[in-house]
Amino acid sequence: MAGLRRRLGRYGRFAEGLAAAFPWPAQQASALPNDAVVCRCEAVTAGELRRVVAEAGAREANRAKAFSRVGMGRCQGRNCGEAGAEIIAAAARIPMRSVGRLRGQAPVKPLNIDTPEAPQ
Amino acid sequence: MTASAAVNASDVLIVGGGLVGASAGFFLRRRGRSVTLLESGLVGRQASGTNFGNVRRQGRPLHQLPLANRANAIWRQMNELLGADVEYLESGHVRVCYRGSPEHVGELEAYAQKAHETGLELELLSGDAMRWRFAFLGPEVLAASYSACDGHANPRVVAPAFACATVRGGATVFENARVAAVEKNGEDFRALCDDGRVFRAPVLLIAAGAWGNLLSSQFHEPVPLLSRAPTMSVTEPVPYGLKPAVGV
Repeated sequence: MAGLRRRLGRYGRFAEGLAAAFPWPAQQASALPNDAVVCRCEAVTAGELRRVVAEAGAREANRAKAFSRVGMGRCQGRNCGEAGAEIIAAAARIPMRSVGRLRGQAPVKPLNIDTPEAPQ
Repeated sequence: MTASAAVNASDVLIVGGGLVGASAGFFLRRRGRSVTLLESGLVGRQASGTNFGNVRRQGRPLHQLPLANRANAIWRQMNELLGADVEYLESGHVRVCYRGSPEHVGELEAYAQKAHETGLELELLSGDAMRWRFAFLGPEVLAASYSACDGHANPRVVAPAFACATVRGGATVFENARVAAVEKNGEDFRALCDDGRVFRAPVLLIAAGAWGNLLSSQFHEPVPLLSRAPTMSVTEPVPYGLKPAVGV
């Protein structure tokens, strides 16, 4: 366990180094044009996300999803979740942390209907 | 009277920001009443926001139909009323009965006759006419009653759209305001939130859905409720498989 924690610590320090060397361009979220498609599965634009923040009062990822369908499609937010949260945070002028993340929904991983069951 | 007490007083105090509370607030504002609405979480996030979205009159108890018909007239102008698209579509509603219980055909017919008297038109179908119209019905279905003017709306947006329009109309809506206690105090009802805020009004409307009993019991008027959640999956938007909603 202690060994695992040391490894985790190493990864953490490496991630911090990466974040310092390549700072996240948070300002880009507010610079995105309104017609930029954020969620490709459901064709939700940055403008639509800003509208649900401004008009419907969404301040949280799942609330924005309920109103706009952002992250509701096949990828379930795997591609758009972070970008959507950045736009919500920028539009609502709140930190990313309080936007939260999309709740997982069943089926957690899309499967073909004929995917065989694993042998017991 | 202190300033804060004045802010927290209104003609009507509504507890619960689901479809019932939010729509009541909207129409009370249109009639000139001052309205405060308290919602324990976020507007429309419980049963009002996570249901099938059926907007249906067929099959309701007959005594409810006059009210349901009035509601249908409101649904038809909902987007204009609220200034928002609630995705209301009159895609129809089919009620079926099975070969195993042929006596139900007579019940469907009797219901359709009574419904007609209230203004709800139902069309009874059987045999080839039914199968031609609703090819998806299996061989065990004996007869069907079709309501063309029932449909569905998007439950995730309806109650919030009502609340937004109610606020634009001058009401005050507090989200994350959980009412712990209600009481009658002289002329007014008082609602005490668990964070200490107090609201009062001469009229109190409890529209707290599954939590209603917790409040009505405080006036010695218990309304026992059983909470049951239907299983539901939300897909990506796809073309209609079956256009009308189907029920038994």
